[in-house]
Amino acid sequence: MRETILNILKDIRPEFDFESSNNFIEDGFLDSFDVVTVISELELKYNIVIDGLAVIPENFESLDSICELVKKSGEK
Amino acid sequence: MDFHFQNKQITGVLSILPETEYRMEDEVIDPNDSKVKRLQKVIGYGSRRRVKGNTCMSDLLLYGLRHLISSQQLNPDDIGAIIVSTLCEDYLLPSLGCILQGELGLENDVYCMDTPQACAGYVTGLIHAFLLLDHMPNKKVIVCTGEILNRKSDPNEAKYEHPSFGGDIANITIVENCHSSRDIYANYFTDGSRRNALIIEDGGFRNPMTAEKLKMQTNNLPCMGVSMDGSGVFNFVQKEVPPSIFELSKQAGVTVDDIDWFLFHQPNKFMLQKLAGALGVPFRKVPMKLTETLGNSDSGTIPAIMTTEAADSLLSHNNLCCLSGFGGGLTWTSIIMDIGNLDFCECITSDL
Repeated sequence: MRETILNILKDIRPEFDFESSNNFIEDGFLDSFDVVTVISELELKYNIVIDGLAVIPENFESLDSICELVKKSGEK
Repeated sequence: MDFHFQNKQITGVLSILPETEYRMEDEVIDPNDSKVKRLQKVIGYGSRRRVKGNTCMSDLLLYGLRHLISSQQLNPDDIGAIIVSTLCEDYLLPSLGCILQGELGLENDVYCMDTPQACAGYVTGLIHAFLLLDHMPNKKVIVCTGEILNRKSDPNEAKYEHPSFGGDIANITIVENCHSSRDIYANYFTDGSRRNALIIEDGGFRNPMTAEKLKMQTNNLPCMGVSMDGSGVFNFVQKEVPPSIFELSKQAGVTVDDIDWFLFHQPNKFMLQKLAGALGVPFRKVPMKLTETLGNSDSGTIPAIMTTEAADSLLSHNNLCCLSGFGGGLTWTSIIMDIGNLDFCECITSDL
């Protein structure tokens, strides 16, 4: 899952090295438009629906937090 | 604050569009940029209307009011009050309501009030109208909304990295007393401690406009310098709006399943889909195409979906509707009421 999500992030913002960042939001790798795009891609890829209340910066600051969000949203 | 109104109804809605239409691709630096393409798909950016460089809100509204008067859909003698909700005042002084009263030659006792409530402006305008109608049994209230935040003095000026969310439009809604409608329930909330999440910082007395700021805004920031914490606003809407609608439904003695139309402010398709999901209602009951066709016009979005996506239904039969406006303030406000069998519900194109 990490590799798949990393590829989604690289596809959206190819100019950034996501593996070198400890916080995608604070480092400016993902803005709110990017987050919307990430959610759309995740929902499509994993056939899940991410709750609107889960769309907070904390859930998109690292690969771990995004993986956790996908799992909570129904991906086994 | 909770409201309960009786014997009030909407009898007509008119949208007035500028004639100039453009596509999202026309205003961005690189329309083939992958990010722009993705945003177009997810957010729903599409076509927009833009007023001419010297057109003001009063021009659009007067165009519509004169259309209604000349087509005998509105008798000016019946107007008891004019409520205007827009961020795009012609002047700091006088208010738009006064300008419209003067231009139409209405009686001096017509009550005129402007309420710049941004995305919540249509719903708050209706609440004001319902309150006023208790004091004018034989008159009508005209609720005017819309924005012209897309106006450019030079149509060839610099393009943007991302498309703007806005679109220019004006709307006129006729509200009046009646004796047969279902009771109307409304609520209103504000949290000014989160006001910086959606703000136009420059141009008021706190930060007066300068030539340098104006140049920076028109070149770099779509929609005249609206600054938004996108995640903060999104989270605010998802957290505050659904519970307030569930509570309002209880007060109205209905469930969300009983509601025919959820006529929501139209920030973008993504947010509306998540809002529909939080409410547990099907997408078909939540019009959300406006961001693709006319854009987000703040106070103008709800009447715009009434005159476009929901028009046939609102003209032909009665519908239980939930209207909800949310945004700058931060403010969120909703109404549950019957709307239908309207005298008119149409969208006209002006030459402005």
